[in-house]
Amino acid sequence: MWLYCHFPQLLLDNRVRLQPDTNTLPLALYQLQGSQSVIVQCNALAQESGVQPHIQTVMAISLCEQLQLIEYVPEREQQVLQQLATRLYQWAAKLILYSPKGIAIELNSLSQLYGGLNATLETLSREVRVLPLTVQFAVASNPLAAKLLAEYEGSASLSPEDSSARLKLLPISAAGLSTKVQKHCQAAGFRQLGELMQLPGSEVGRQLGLDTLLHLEQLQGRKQQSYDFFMPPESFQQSLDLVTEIPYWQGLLFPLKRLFGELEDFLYQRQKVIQQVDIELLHRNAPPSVISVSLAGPGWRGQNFLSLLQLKMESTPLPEPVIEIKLQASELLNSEQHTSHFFGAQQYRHETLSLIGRLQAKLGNPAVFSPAMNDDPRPGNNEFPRPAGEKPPALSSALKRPLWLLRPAELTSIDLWQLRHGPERKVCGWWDAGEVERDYWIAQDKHRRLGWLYYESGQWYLQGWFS
Amino acid sequence: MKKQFAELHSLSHYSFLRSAASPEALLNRADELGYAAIAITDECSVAGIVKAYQASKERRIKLIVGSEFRVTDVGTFVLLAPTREAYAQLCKKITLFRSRSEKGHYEANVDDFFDGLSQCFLLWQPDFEQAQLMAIGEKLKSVWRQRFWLLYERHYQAEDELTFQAVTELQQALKVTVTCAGGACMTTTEQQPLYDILNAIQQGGSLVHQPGLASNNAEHHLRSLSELQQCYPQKWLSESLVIAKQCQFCLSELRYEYPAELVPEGMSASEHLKQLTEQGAHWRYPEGVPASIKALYLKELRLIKEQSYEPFFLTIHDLVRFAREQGILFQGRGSAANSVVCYCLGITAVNPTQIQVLFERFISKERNEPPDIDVDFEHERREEIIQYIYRKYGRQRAALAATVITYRFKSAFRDVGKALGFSEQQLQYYRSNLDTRDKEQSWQQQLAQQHPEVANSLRGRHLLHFTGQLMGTPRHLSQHVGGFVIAADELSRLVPLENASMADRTVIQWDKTDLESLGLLKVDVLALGMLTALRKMLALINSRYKQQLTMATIPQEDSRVYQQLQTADSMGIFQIESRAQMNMLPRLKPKTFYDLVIQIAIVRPGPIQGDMVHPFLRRRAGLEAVDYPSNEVKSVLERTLGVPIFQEQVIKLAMVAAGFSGGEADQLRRAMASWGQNGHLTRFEDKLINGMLERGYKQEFAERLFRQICGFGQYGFPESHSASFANLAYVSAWFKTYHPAAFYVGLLNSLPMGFYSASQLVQDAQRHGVTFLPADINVSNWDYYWLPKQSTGSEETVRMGLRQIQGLSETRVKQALSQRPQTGFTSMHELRQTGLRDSDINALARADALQSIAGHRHQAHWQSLSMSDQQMPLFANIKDRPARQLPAPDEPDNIKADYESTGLTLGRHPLALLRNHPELKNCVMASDLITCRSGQVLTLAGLVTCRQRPGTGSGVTFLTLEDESGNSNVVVWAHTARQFRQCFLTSNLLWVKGIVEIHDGVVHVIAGRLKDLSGLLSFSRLESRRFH
Repeated sequence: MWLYCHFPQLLLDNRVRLQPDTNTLPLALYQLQGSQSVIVQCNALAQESGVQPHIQTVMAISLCEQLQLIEYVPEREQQVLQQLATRLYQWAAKLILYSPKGIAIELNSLSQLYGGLNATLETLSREVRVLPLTVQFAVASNPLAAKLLAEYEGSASLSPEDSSARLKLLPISAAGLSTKVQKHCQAAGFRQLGELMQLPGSEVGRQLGLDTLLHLEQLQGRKQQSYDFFMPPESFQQSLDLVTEIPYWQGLLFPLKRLFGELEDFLYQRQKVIQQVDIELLHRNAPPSVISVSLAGPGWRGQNFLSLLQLKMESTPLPEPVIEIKLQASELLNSEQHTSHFFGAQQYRHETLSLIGRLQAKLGNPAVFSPAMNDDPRPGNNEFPRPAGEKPPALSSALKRPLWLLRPAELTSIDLWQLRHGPERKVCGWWDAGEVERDYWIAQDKHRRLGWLYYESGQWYLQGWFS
Repeated sequence: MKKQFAELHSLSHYSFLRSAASPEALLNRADELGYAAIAITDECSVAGIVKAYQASKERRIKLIVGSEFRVTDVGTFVLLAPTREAYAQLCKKITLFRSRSEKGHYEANVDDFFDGLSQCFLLWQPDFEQAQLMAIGEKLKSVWRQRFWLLYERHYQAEDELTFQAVTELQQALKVTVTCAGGACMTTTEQQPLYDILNAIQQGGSLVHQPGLASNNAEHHLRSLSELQQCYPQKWLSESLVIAKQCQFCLSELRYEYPAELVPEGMSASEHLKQLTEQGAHWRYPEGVPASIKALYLKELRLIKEQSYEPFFLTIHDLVRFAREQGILFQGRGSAANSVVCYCLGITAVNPTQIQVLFERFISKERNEPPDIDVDFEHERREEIIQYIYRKYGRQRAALAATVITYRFKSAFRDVGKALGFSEQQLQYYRSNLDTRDKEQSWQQQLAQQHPEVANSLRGRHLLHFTGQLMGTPRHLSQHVGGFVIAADELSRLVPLENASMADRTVIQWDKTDLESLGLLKVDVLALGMLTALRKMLALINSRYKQQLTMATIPQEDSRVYQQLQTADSMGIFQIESRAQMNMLPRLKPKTFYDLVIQIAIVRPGPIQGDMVHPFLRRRAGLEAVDYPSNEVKSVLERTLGVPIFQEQVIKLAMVAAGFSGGEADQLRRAMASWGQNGHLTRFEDKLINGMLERGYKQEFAERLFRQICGFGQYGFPESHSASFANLAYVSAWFKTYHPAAFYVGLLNSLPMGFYSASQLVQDAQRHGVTFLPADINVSNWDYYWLPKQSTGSEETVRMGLRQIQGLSETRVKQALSQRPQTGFTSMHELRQTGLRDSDINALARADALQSIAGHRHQAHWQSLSMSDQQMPLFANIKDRPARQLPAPDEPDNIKADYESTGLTLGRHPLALLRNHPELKNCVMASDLITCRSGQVLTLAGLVTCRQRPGTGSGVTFLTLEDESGNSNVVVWAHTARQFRQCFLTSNLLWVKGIVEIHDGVVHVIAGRLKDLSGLLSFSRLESRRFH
């Protein structure tokens, strides 16, 4: 016997779970299908305005002007499903993932443990329902049949007895057949799965192909299937699109607490510990803020990481509102054996990161960075703080630029200088607030030092020194 | 002041995405700055040169023609054309470079510059990274000698000094002269942001994330002479003048040489045209040519001769002669087309005595512009005409005119947005609720209201501002719908050719207005679906009744035809089948051909916006007096009861009432055509109003006329076109009145065309007494056909064609039909043997077209599966096995399957099935609406077949609901649409409660409440047209 749990709007529900206040707005996930953007999941408020899955996004906006739209990313839903499976793994051994929306659980082997089939079902469904997710259950003698019933029928009775009768009543469109076979069946007047099941196998094979025959036999339990059972993953990764952009740390606390709670559950279930968590905050325009929180020694309590992060918050202002949070922990250690096994480069890296982490916690993020340059034509704007430790990108051209840049540039008198080369005219930056309008010169002072000067609004400035 | 500089290297926005300046603006600005000359040297193109030439006529500055080429690792070459021959060489080179690449690109190598350019000047801006620089320079010097200069440009960059040194050294080594240029891509520094945005668009990046895409400074603008003097040595500046002085070529030297082969030896073109016209006159008037006609054509021939336009008329005559020989229907239109000469030459079927057009104005010395003749051909056979042109003149001599595709709101908003770092999704979100047709609120205002955060941010303001700036600037060249330019010899000596996106098509680098400006002739070869349909209708009648009916011999001014039109029974009739036209028919009540000409022109945005419709209708109904302020005005407006309806009338009014000269009136016409895109029209306001006041017209009359002209704008419809369209409208209406079966068969066999779907046409046909028999593989052909009376007992019976079935291959089905035995196919196996594939057979089964072989559609489909390709090897020895008996489909099943496979049903309408449903209780049927009392509250229900929001209306949407009795018109005001937004937008089966309004036989239901009943249907194909 198999229990199948179908989560029709898993990604949306998960988001609402992590950020409950978003449910006060009409909310929908959309996906690009070919050249069209289509709604794939939506909450109750959106549905009240007539928004439904499968309609075009443009139509959805017309129906509901306040609709909040978020891109649907299948991989992300798959991640949520993985986490869900990891959680259920505590209660059941044989799980099959049907990405991205369903999990099948084998029941017979659990029957003894929980005291009968009904008790097993009760335990499992209770556990699934601990999380506020929309779910449709069904029970059948094989996972495929359970899947079709769950997807079609929703929360009908969990009694396994009449499952085969209900299976026969499934419309052709819900029978799990390929689109082509569905079309053939409909064109020949078949309406329900039962009508196909009545046909002799040889006729099904001849008319509708061997795949269809196999499918029907599997549904009826006549053909054994081999299954890929679920194994819990080796790393933790969870991300959350924020429905409304959050400009302050305070507003991030709740979702972060939830995410750290998930991390703690994950580690506890796996009996693992970690030393470092990476938190990546995505912004609309600015590059992401990456904050790593390292404990002095390995641990698993979410609260410990969160406390350390809160310490950092004070010194790390957000450059822009946050639109998405990612939490990642990749190096899982066994809880019994830790710290003493690190050697060499790995250890050095850890020490560097840990040092950077502590420096950042103390001084704030903007104070600790690796220098890097981009191709912004404005001197001063072309340097930007790259997250500490990352490789800088290659630069396009090697222009004559001073090594030592003064910021801000210093006011100087032209009498002290003799102009040598120039001018190089820089009139740019209109697209942001940093508009400049300067003539740059290379000039020599009486000590024969070369300086980089510019003239702007009637004044001369020293921008930097050539070595 | 002494002119001290000539700009020899400048790019206009026809070097797409490389320049922010229009050619006109560059020229005007250079003149303001006191330059002696400016060369517009677009990259491998002369697409902008005619615009600059037009502007130069009003300026003192000299225009030099040239082009820029970028050669990898060698540098930039600027070619200038000092003479006509040099210009021809330049055009040929551009053609060569363009022919090597796909549309929009070119390929030039350094070796290409060593021959074929013996008359051109070359300016070389070397790439100093190149190791072989000296060798290349020496070779160039040896070939080009005194026509060769080094080009130095300084834009205040870090590497200026190095470049300067390198140029000086190269100059000394090669012993060539240096000149300098600005490399201008902007007129003033203010264009820098737009220039940066264009660059970011071209690179596909955003300035916010890749600031390196922006320019360092704005030095690529046209600089003042004092700035230039600070920048360059005087000697180099002076050299630019030396070069400019030698450039003597002007575009006015271009003479179009007409194809000569159309004139028989020993005759002049003029004699030949006269001869053909005389022959044609006898053919048109077999009873004897009336003296008035003869006088007219002689006058026209004289005008044609004065302008030497004979070859143009001969060329078109040759095309229509070919079409007539091939049995391809055609019709000429345009002012010159509706002349007596064209009538005699058979170019048009409109008898010019029936309408009044200003032929003189369209061929006059003053205008110095080519006459306008468009010829429409059957859409299915236009390609034959195009191939004839290529065959006759060769690809060297014939090419299509270009159309310049410009930025519209949507594309500009997206590209500017991306360049400013907005994501595609954000932009789509911002754009989704904007209505660019809203007249009360500009899109900028709407955006600011809906998304205040955008308007309040710097980046958002940039988005608003630069989207506006980018709109209207060119994006790329595309091919004109059918305008051919044909030359006497090589066309590429006149204008460069480049590849179009369509295989085997080349376009020239000039568009319609450029050709007009230069007085070059273009032959418009257009495609028209109605002509295809008419040819098929004529063929049906002629073969059934053994007649020789042609468009010209169809009985004219038949009162039954007009009576039918007066009741708005016009579905399928050319030009007057739209809903708006149908609403006008019972009010205008056309009784004559000229009424149709007015009917076609009046239901246009121009007359509607100019508020000309109601005055005209009131006057026609005798409710308002017709008066004229003067006899001159009367002469212009008399035939339209004092209300200007046609474009020609507006022009003529400007001439007679405001004293415009012919040339000025023509400028007014051009300004009208581009009204809305620029403010040119307002320039004429004072002149027009003052002109009329001076001539004693009242202020109020003058202002009203100007308002009407503005309203006309680009939508003004010329009488000459309307007349040709009216001819086709009359002919199609005649068929509908007298031979409905032939009419619908002709239309159905020419789809896709027109306004209505096959389903709507078939229902209309059934209401006109035509019986349709279902498609069947054993009796149907690919096309619909009209059954002989003997076989059915009825005159109006039609067999559905297999073309109606979706998913069939035309080639394979036609091949199968050619093998159909006398007694028909008897088995699936036999059918398969003809070469039909699984997909074809399944489609036939779904459409119930295998009845005669395999029974009802379920049975046939199931049977077809067992024979499918993939199963063949296993069951190769089995023919059709006795199949399982499957239950037959019921009526809803059949209707659903009919719609899915053919888009229509010959069974009952879905609404007929639902008529007794409680939800439809008390609903009035469409055909009964006319019997209701105007103002009565009622309910009706139907399938939504059309949602239309006209550009002229304010927030009103017209819905067409279809039921088993016909169509009804529902008007939904904006507030009702908002209130019932969901069902208004999504419903397929709509229930409406509203008030019926009946005026002059026009019936509307003003919706008050809407309800979505789509749940009652499970028909997937009944989709309506959305706003369009």
